[in-house]
Amino acid sequence: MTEAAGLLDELLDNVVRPLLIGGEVRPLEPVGEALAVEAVSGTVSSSVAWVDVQIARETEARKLCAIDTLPALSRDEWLLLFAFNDLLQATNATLTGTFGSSRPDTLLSMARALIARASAPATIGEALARHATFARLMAPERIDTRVAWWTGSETFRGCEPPKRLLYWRGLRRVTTNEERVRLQHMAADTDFNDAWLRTLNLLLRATPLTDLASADRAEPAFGWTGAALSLIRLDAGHTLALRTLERTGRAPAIAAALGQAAQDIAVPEAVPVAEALVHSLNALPTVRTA
Amino acid sequence: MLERVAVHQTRLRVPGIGLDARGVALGARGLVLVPSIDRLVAFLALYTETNALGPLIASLRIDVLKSKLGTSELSLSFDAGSSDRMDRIAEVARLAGGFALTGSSRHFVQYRDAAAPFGYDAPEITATDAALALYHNTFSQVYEIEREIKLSSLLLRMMPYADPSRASETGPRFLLAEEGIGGSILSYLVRSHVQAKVALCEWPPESSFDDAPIKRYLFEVPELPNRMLALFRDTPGVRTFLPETPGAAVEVGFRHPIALKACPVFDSKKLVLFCGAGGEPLVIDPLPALGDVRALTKVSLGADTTEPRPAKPIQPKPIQIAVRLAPTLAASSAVEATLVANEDLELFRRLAYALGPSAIATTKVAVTPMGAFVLREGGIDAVPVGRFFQRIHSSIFIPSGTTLLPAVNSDVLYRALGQPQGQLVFFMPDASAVAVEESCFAPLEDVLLAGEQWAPVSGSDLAEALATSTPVVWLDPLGLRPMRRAEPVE
Repeated sequence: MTEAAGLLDELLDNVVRPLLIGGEVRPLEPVGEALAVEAVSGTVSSSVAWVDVQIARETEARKLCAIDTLPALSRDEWLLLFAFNDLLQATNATLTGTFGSSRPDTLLSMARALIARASAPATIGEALARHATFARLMAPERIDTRVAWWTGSETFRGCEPPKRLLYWRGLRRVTTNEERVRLQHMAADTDFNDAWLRTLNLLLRATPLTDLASADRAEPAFGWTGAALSLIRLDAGHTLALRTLERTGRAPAIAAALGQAAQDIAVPEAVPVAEALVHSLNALPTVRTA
Repeated sequence: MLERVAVHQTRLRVPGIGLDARGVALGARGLVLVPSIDRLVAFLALYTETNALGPLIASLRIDVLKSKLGTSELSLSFDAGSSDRMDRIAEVARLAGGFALTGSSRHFVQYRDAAAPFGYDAPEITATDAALALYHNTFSQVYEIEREIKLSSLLLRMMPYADPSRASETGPRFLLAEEGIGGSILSYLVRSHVQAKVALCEWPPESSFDDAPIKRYLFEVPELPNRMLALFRDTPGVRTFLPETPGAAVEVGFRHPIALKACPVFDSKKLVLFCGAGGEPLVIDPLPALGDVRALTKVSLGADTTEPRPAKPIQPKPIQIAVRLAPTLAASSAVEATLVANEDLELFRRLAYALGPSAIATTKVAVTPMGAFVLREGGIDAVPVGRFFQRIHSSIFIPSGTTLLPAVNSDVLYRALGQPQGQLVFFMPDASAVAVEESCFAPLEDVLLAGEQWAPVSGSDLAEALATSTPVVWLDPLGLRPMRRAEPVE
């Protein structure tokens, strides 16, 4: 039995399912490009987790349009999920070790390679399915615990501090402070932050609806992509994007971000397409209060 | 002198006389003695006026009696039946100047009268071989029967008397026409479409100088039109007879002395025509077969031609005229539509606020470039705006106050329009027509309200949202070789 066997089930149980329905996301050991590519050709055997994932995906999709079923996770989505796994694992403090300062960059480069292998959505249905999987991509948080004692301090990212540091709290004046770190800030205090944000940005761009729905994010900054423009150029895609953005509850902020980003579009013909979405977004009726 | 029968008397001297249940002296037969033939006729006329001779006819016998003194009298004898019948006969006999008697075969005693409520009895019976021995308060006489008179022959010998009131009676008629005029009357009846049957009757020559029998046409007309009554009455050679009873008819304008319908002596297979003005009754025996007059009309054939010349069909010239609308003062009915011009739509909109619920529910509107066609079954009076139309057909409307020229039936106009299905045709005042599809008419209540602006409020499932936890990333220690399986694709 190779190492790739059962990798999808592990990813489904530890990453995908908690990502969609909440819970503890425990990324797998760094998978890398080769193993991920090999693994996505396999099948899922975990029926319970699979049902939960499908229900969560369809629930998310039905918020936007009336569909009965969604297709199963595609190969591209699995690749993106493996990339997401490695993206999270890149922030693991134990990855670097004593002589492994370059490992995060290596891992991130392989994650970008996986993202590159996943092509942009070819149809509106694929865009919807991909958004149903990654709608909560920006939702995960990481709990960082900062432990301080009388001679020093240390921050533990996404893991419990060793118990030995917590002994004799009063004598050693031990204090602990937990901080919930959002996804885009998980690598903020590292050397590879830029590479990490770039990888996250690529992952977001791979799912246009999700990218548009989080356009008002501070980091990584939103930029119009060919996939997003191709999606909203069609009437159905335009409507779907409009519904997605309207349901975020942050339509004005997103409209501002999209309008700002439209100024940076290199292709002049694509600008009206983006502006049309911005215009439609601004034209959404606002709730009038008495 | 006769004796009056007393109450509870049980024995009578006259043979063949007994007491009936009421105690009246009554024999098996009754007899009416009249002095002359005219009294007999009077008796029959009076009796048949209110009574039928049917019950008597089987036993009725009329005899001419001759007394020993040589006087002739007439008797009418019959089965007495009961004292009730005898009472009626006795009353009529007294009125006609005759005597009523009762007896059995030879001896007859006076029937009861006011002086003797239970009748009479003869104190002494005459011993005689005469045919009849009659006992009366005023006389007792024996008679011989000289001869018998048949009732039927008596009736034939009676002359009808003039009675102008019968000339105007309606009903079936017999027409008896001389041979020379019969054919003309036959043609006349056929031309006039009068149902009638006809027969040709023959009588023996009236004198030896005639060498041929007398032929007459007999017409039986079930219902002769009134306009012809005077014609046939006054036309020489034609006599009109009114049927009295099966087998007997009396000439119109005359009445037989005796009610013939009360005398069942005529055979329906014969016909006796009683002629007025002294004419002899005409007997048709047997009644010949009567045929429909239409079967005897003359048929004239045209010139002999080798073959019929077929008529050439000619295409008729079309007579087509355009429809016009003319004003009329007649009250318009069924004003069920109005055309609200575009410039009046604002007024119609304002008017909509004043319409009642029923008017809004039953009114339909079709908006066209010409304006809004408003339709309401039962009357458009609730919408007093626009040009009104009245419905003349289920699919055709014309302006109110106008009428269609030519005044053809609306169904004809509908066919002339090509029977448009699912279209309502509205004629304008200039006679031009526009058609609006029925499907374009929407209920007013559906199109009345403008699209009210509303803001969607996205509701989220609070329970679901609360149940969904935030994904929390836990990074487990990776060990000494964290990148042991992470390799790029070669």
